Amino acid sequence: MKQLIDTLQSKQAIVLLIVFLTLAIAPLFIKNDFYLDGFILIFLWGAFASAWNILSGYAGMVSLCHNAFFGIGAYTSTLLFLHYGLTPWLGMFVGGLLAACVGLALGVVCFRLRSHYFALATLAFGEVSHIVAMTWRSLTEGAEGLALPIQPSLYNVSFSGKLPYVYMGLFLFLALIAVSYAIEHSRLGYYLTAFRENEDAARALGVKTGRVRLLAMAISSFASAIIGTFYAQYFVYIDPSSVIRIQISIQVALFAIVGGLGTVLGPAIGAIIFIPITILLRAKLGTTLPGLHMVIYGAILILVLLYMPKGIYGTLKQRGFKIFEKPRKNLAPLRSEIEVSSRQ
Amino acid sequence: MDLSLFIQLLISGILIGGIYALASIGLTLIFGVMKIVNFAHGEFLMVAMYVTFWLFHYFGLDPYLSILVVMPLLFIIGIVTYQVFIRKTIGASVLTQIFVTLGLSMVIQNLVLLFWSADFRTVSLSYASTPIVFGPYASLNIEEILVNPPRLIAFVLAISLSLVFYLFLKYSYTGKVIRATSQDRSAALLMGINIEKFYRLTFAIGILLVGIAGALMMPIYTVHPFVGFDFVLVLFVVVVLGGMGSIVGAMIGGIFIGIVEIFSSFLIGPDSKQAIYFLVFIAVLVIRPSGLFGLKGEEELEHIETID
Amino acid sequence: MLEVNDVSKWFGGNAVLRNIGFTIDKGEVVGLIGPNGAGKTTLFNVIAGFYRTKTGFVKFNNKDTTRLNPETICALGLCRTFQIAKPFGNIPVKKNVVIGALSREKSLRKAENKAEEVLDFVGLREKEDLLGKNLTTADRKKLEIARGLATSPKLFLLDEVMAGLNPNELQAMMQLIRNMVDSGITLFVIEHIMAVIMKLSHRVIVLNYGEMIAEGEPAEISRDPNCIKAYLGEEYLVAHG
Ligand SMILES: Nc1ncnc2c1ncn2[C@@H]1O[C@H](COP(=O)(O)OP(=O)(O)O)[C@@H](O)[C@H]1O
Ligand SMILES: [Mg+2]
Repeated sequence: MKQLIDTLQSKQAIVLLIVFLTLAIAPLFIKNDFYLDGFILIFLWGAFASAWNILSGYAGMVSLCHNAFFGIGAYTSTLLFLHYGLTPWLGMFVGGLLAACVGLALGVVCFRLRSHYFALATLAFGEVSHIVAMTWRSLTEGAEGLALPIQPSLYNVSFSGKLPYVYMGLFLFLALIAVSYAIEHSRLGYYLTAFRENEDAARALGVKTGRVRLLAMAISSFASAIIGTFYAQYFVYIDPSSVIRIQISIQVALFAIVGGLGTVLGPAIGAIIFIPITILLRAKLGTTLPGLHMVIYGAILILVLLYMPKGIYGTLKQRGFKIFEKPRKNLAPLRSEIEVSSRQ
Repeated sequence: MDLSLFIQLLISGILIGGIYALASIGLTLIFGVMKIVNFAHGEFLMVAMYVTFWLFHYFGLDPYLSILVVMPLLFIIGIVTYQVFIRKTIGASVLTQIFVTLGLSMVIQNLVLLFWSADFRTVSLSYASTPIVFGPYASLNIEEILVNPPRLIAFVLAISLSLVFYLFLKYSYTGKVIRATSQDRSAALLMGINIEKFYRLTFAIGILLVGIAGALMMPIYTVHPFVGFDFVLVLFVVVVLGGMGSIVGAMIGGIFIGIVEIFSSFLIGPDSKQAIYFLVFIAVLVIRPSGLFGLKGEEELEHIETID
Repeated sequence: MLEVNDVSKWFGGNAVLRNIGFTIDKGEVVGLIGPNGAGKTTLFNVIAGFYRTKTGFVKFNNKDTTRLNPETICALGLCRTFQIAKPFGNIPVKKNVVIGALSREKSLRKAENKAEEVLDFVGLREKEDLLGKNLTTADRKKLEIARGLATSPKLFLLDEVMAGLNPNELQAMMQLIRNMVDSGITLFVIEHIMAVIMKLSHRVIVLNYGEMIAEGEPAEISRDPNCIKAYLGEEYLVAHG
């Protein structure tokens, strides 16, 4: 805590505080639904990208099945509401727990898999979940999808204006940032990083790598499912292509990578940058030049990975822009570090 | 299921499998040599299909002749792709490798969408539209077996080309070096092999092979900008089944998956056939990551795995 | 403190270790020597829980550790370094060491203090902000040791920590090892440089082609013709008759 207060006194922290206050207060003055929608999407995808980052950024396990966790959340709360009238406030935790169990089961089944093999297994699982959602019509209505009735009430987590959704989204967004911060500054975060960097060395130092990576899997899938419920409540309609498409996993990965993998703020920053671009491109070119925004996304993804692998926030951090860390005592080692890494 | 039907399905499966085999050899080769899983592999297949389509559409070029254009073209595309994108990912983190090739796949898919729209396009060959009939063989109690000529041609060409390539790997100097690099990178380095050059060559050959498969598939399948992603998932299954890096494994795996696909779509419906082979896929990954046919050696290091 | 009994390890059809047995007492410094490929690193891997022995058992402080994982064995107080240093490359040196320290310390704060102590001890304190991957070979070896020390081992296995060092670095490393001994850690050391191992250790074990061909005080070993033959080759014997 003391460390947190210390570090929050730096200049950059003030910048950050201003950004967040703007995010928090601005929606109150915006009357245009188009912009409010933008805020909601930023919060939703920023939170989701942070959730992905816990597993894939900190622990370095490339997941291509976060679409499944997201979909489990969206479908569970929606189905529980439609069939049993259960409030999504509870349904979302049921979905979260279910997703966490699925994540843990997958983690146990794929326990021996590393690197490419793990990524391929998650890809297959993500696809299977999509096929299941499409073909299990008695449960999911298949491609027709499920619609939530529009009956605004707190119990139904349904509201007539956009503002409540903005603040729900903001809450999720900040919550995921807080969770990432807590992880990065705890034993779990250190252990996940150790596992990512070198598993053998981590185990030799007493890190229970098996346990910590299952924990990361559970946290990440739980959070993704909660965000899935939020998606369903906001859009009041879900179908396999909107919530269980494999492209969803790729998109959150893109935000996290461009923002900064394995950093507290990176994924959020990725969403803050990308969502407005997407909205603009879709609005301007969506009909005339379909796919252009995906070309741009892909190109940015490649460029960032090849030329700025730490992402935007990671690179800023390396240049001395610190929010959540104590400022360096002197810059000399930093400079030599940059020299060495640029020589390699 | 009676015998005739069984044989009919089996033959259809084997025929499809031959193409899968050819298409996935490139993928497994690239993984074996460079330890990179090329998520954009399907996009090169798609590009080759489009090239074949346009050659047919504008010049009336027979798809089987267009292989002669597709081969050098895809080889060059492979070289360029390697130089511009892949080279920088050698030795980078797995995440980088995966997402660079995924990014590449996004770019190619959507560029194709931009230029050539999402329309479904087909090539139908007048000379090959009537099925060839085998049988009936009354003595064996087998009724007529129907085979579509494009599938038969594709199978024969795919398998012969795969074998030619296999012999090339086995007996040519270049092939031997590629195999040596695949088996032991550091030893190859020690022997003074210019690894960089062989990586480039391997990548380009991998793309060339999937390009041929694309040309062979054009008379059978419909092409659209996202067709590559559907196929690449199948190719991953094939490659993992055969053991990542094993050419012979990919050939056996291709035919195996072709058969699984035909039977499962007949028995449980085409919608869920994919689910079946993905489950096979996960099962193989989990139980025997080195591949079902054991053609690839054990994983380099043995690890002691426990949850606690 | 350590009891290795009838340990054997096979890779495919090759026996890399055959019926190895010895003990190490508290406070000792034991050297492990043998030509390249003799199975020294493999023996460390078996003791530290990375590989399973096919026969026999390993006991640490009278507890059977044969079937335990590396992380559990580390928690018992047995730590090893890697011959090819495996730093956590993309994080600072200090964080590398903190990860080791967390295996004993309850809080991050305490682990950081411990890490700083250890970094002072091995002489990496000024470099604590560098990324692991940017260290020189000598510093990587020091980092290996620092991380291991941070786990407060009772028995510490050092795998060729002196290979590839220049004479100055070598002196520093020898001093570091002596300091570790003084602080009461039992050491089991793989080393290539004969002079070093003879100077440092109380007892030496010699491996050749997976077999233990000798065990004894450094002076005895350096006179044992079998060892000289294994270690230096036939020609040496002939030439020096
Ligand atoms: N994971 C492994 N798989 C197969 N063979 C191995 C493996 N690790 C070591 N070996 C073999 O075991 C022998 C002993 O290796 P090692 O213990 O590293 O020797 P040393 O450390 O004494 O130089 C060598 O011949 C080596 O090739
Ligand atoms: Mg060794």
